[in-house]
Amino acid sequence: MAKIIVACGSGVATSQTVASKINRLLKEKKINSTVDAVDIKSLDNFIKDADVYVSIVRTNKKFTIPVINGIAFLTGMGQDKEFEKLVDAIKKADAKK
Amino acid sequence: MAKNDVTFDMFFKNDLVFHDVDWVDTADFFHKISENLVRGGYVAPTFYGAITERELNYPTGLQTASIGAAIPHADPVHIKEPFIAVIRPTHSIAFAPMGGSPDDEKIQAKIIFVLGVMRNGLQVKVLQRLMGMLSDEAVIHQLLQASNEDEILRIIKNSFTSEQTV
Repeated sequence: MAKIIVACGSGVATSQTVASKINRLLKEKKINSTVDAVDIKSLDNFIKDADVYVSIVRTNKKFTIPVINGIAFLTGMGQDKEFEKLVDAIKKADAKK
Repeated sequence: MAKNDVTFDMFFKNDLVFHDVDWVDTADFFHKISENLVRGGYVAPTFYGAITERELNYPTGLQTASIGAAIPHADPVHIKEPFIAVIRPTHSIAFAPMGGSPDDEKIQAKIIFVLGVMRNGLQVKVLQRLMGMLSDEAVIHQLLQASNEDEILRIIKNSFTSEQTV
């Protein structure tokens, strides 16, 4: 089962809202995965065993796992495309396990 | 009215809706809104520094299909009483886009919600409703046409009690 993390400045409002929406969209598609909201300072700890990173804040770091634009899930702008990318990344991650 | 709708109502305050204010930029905005929030007993004096710094590091400008908006917020430790302040400035205020840097093209925010929400689980529901509202062309149109604070408050409360979320 793929593990998705969503990070924002505090891990309180924005990331949890995006995580909740992604959870709902994945459930509708009957895709099994875990979605966790974390604060950006603890991202390094959580990213180690995550399969996909949904980003809400800017960072200069390079990631080895796929990064999805989380703001699309907040505003609805470009959401379909980002969700497609997310589903694709989950499928690839699941195939490796 | 369902019970959870009453919960949303408590966030919106008559003294925290600002219509037709001429706050020119984010510096002016944060200064004026913090002054009002401190005076009303909603936040600690540390709020101004906290929200200014946070906006710099994690900007909150959002462009939906219907409107440019911003949802600035600070760490809940600076909040004394939960609130959502609503500001509809005369001229749009430029906010850096969420997920972007201060150098990115700015979002021209025509409506701004300062979120004084606690870490109690309700913040997610609040943001869901808020984003649902900001994506709702009809409600946005009403908000932009509203001519006073009472009208703005009524439109927002109506929208929050409807079922729509993002």
